[in-house]
Amino acid sequence: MAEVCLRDLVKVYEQQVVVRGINLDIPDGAFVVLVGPSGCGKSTTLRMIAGLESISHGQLLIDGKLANELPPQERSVAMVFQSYALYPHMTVQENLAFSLKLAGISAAERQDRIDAAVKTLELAPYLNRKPAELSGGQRQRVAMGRAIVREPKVFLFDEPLSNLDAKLRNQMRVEIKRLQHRLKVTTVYVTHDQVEAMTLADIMVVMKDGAIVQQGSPLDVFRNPANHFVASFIGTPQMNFFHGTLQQEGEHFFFASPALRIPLDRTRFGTALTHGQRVCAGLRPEDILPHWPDETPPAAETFAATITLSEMLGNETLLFAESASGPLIARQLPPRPVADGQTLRFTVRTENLHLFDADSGISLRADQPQRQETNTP
Amino acid sequence: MNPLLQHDQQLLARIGLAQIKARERARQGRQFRLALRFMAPALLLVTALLLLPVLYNIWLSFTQWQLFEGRDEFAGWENYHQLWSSPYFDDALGNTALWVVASVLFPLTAGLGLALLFRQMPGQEWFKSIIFLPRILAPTAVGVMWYYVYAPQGMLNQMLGQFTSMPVETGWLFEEQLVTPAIILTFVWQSCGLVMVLLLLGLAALPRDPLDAARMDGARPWQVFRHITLPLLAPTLLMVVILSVLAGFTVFDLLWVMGANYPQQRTLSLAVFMYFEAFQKNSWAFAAATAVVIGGVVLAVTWLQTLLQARVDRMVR
Amino acid sequence: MQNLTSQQANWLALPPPASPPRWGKALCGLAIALLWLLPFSYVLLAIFKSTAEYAASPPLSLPEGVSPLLENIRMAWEQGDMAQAMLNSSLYAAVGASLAVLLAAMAAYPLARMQFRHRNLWFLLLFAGTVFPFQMYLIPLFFGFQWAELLDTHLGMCLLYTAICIPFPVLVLRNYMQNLSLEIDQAARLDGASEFTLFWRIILPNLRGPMSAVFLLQFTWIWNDMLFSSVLGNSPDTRSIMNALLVFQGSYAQSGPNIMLTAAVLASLPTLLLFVLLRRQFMQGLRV
Repeated sequence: MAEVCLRDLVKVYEQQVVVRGINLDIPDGAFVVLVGPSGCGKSTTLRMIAGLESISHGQLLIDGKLANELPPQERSVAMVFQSYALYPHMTVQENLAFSLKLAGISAAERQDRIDAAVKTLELAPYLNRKPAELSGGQRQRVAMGRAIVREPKVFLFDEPLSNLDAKLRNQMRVEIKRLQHRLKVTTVYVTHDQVEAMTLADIMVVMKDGAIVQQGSPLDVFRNPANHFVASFIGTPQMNFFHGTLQQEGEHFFFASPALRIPLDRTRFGTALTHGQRVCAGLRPEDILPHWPDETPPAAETFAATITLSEMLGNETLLFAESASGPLIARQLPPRPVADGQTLRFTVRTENLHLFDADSGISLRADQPQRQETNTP
Repeated sequence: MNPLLQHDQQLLARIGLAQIKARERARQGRQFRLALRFMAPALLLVTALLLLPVLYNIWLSFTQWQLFEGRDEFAGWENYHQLWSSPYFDDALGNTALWVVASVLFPLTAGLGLALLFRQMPGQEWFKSIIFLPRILAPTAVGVMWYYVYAPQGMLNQMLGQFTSMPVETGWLFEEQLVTPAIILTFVWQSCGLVMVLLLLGLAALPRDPLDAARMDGARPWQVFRHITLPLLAPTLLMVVILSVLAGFTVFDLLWVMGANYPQQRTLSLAVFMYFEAFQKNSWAFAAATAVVIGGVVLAVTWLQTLLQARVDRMVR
Repeated sequence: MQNLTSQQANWLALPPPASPPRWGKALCGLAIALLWLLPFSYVLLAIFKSTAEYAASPPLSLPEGVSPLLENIRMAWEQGDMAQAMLNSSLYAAVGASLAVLLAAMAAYPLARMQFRHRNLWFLLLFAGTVFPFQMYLIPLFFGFQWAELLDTHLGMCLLYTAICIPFPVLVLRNYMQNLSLEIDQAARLDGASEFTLFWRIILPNLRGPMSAVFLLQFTWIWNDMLFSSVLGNSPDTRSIMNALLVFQGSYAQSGPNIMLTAAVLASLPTLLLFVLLRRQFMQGLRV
């Protein structure tokens, strides 16, 4: 168990900057998820922590000690690979025991650790099988077992669930979280799936183009995205964006677009607003509600949109509609029958409105959490 | 992307690209030293016993052993001139050319025919093994066997005698016109198997779709073969041709054993010629020059192959 | 199903073109196989005949009995001095092939899995050993062995055979290693394995297939060698089996073809046996 500190970590690969100055402090026992689109540098960062990539510049501190030049063998870091990387010629038992033998741990201690891991991960029926005889989920558990028995300072996960089918993925997600809670080992987890990130992380770190764009608790990042990119990346289905301008009428500001005209709460948006500023309004699907004539009149204005498609998920329906301001997706609970081509009126939850500057993408909210000093475009 | 590039340049300037590069080079240096430890024994043996000798051979071919002074003296192209004017060399060269042509032509056609024949046949594993078996045997042993097949009282003459109902006593291995063709036959018997197996592997790896498409378009089997199968097989064919050329060029054991009683043995091929000059007549420098000639041709062929192989591969994709 | 050309419609309607009837091919194949075996049959018949019998009867006639075989074997063995030669070749082939394959694996490992400058050049350096024809090695090696007093020694022959048998396995094993998952290396390093432990315990066990295939090929090649043995190890103590056969052929031609052929068969028995038992591994080695 240890703290991990990344100070201004840079990775240059053949004159191209792949990781641009990452600063991250991971407290002991925290579950940190690095999430972002492919090519954002999250895997490279993980591998720099592991020692599988050299660090071009900056400092990596594990448990307070500088680890830049330490070879992977000496970092006391265990990693679960995307392809599991089990030793194909060894049985499960031998795979688990390998690192312990190398470390010179006594046979008794070895057996204890292996037994504990086997019990936790339910690997007992497979001990004498070779990896080729196991299913994907079983191999994954062996890979995790291999990491656990080493009792490392840090766990690293490199997109471990990508190769599993959906159902297994959900199961393993829960198991990983439970495991980490029990063992309380500092964990760094890399994924491109924001659902995994949301559900697993204590601290979620969103990365893009080699830099950290926002970090915080998942709920925090979900509710207060720092910019357009984070807002669009986190949350399924994706947040709806409408282009428009800010209009000032006396003391009040409005967001104006062909379909929507929304009054803005000054306490939320602070003093950064200027009349005529081009902005992008963001509303999550659950914040756009269809308004039926028989319901109580809504608080805000309604606008019209024509249904193009509806996806019925059972507990809710996703409505794909076309408004004067562009396409949108709205969540409807509980579901009511809707027909394609039908025109409905929608209302919005203005308290959950997000505003982003149209050019820079930065959020205009006044209550932005302290953002990491980065160089976001 | 422009703001990013700008930022990157500033970043690189700040932390010093040169420093990063230096560190990378140091890392690679460490990797290299580690790699060297693994490669050292193999490198040592190969360099000492295979590469340095080649260099020495080349140097030697430019010297002449001065009998009375007991040392080598640089003699320029003298040895090569002598080579060119030696009648034995001409004959040997001619025979070698014959060998190369024959060792490509016959095993290839026979091997191709056999491969097509055995492609889908019951019990093909057995047949393949039988045809391939001679390849396992040492050329020396094969040479001894066929020496007696070709002997005046040997198997071949006896069989021929039964057909013509007249005693046949040809000395196949003793007559100028017969010796090389006879040994070529042995060579084909021995090397067909490998060619056949390689072609079978190549045929098995061909994609099915173009063949099916051609059949659907109405092509008859022979046309399919000529216009689709053969061109697609080109890379494998090229490899087989090159291997055959090299084999035909460097044939030695067979010639040494079967041609032992042929008076002009040294003309049977360049390789035999070289051995003769070196270890029977002890004209070291002269033989070294021959070896260089052989080596030069082999290298040229190999180099040609790498060029052609890349191009042929691209044609087929 | 509309708009098919008449050709395509015909193709769909007819059964697939019949390949020539199976038994026709089989017969053909049988004929060819028999043709191929003809020289072998001649040899097989000859080794069962005594010298006198061989001289008296036509070559393809059946032998009168089985007993002359033992006598032929005895004579071939003694007169051809085959015992020592067999021992020599066994030593050379076993040591040479196994050492070569091991050293080749060691050399191929960094070439396949590590990154360093001019990696390809180093590979070419090793592979250049096979590019040149043997003729270019003979004279220099002869002089070199003379100078190093390795001529006619077991050590010298072993070193030579090992060296010659290294380049090809390097190519094969390097290609094979490149196809192994890279992440196993990384997992092992994180587990604390040194580079050598990685090589020995992780990579090598996964190479058993290609290593044995390549070992067989090199073993056979060394066993079959005559050229190098005759130049560098021609003394009766260090001759290879094929060299001994050659010498036998040259000097004892009066022994009679039946003895010579028996000697040739004896000399080839070990590799024949290997082939019969391990046919699949041999074929695998060709798939390179």
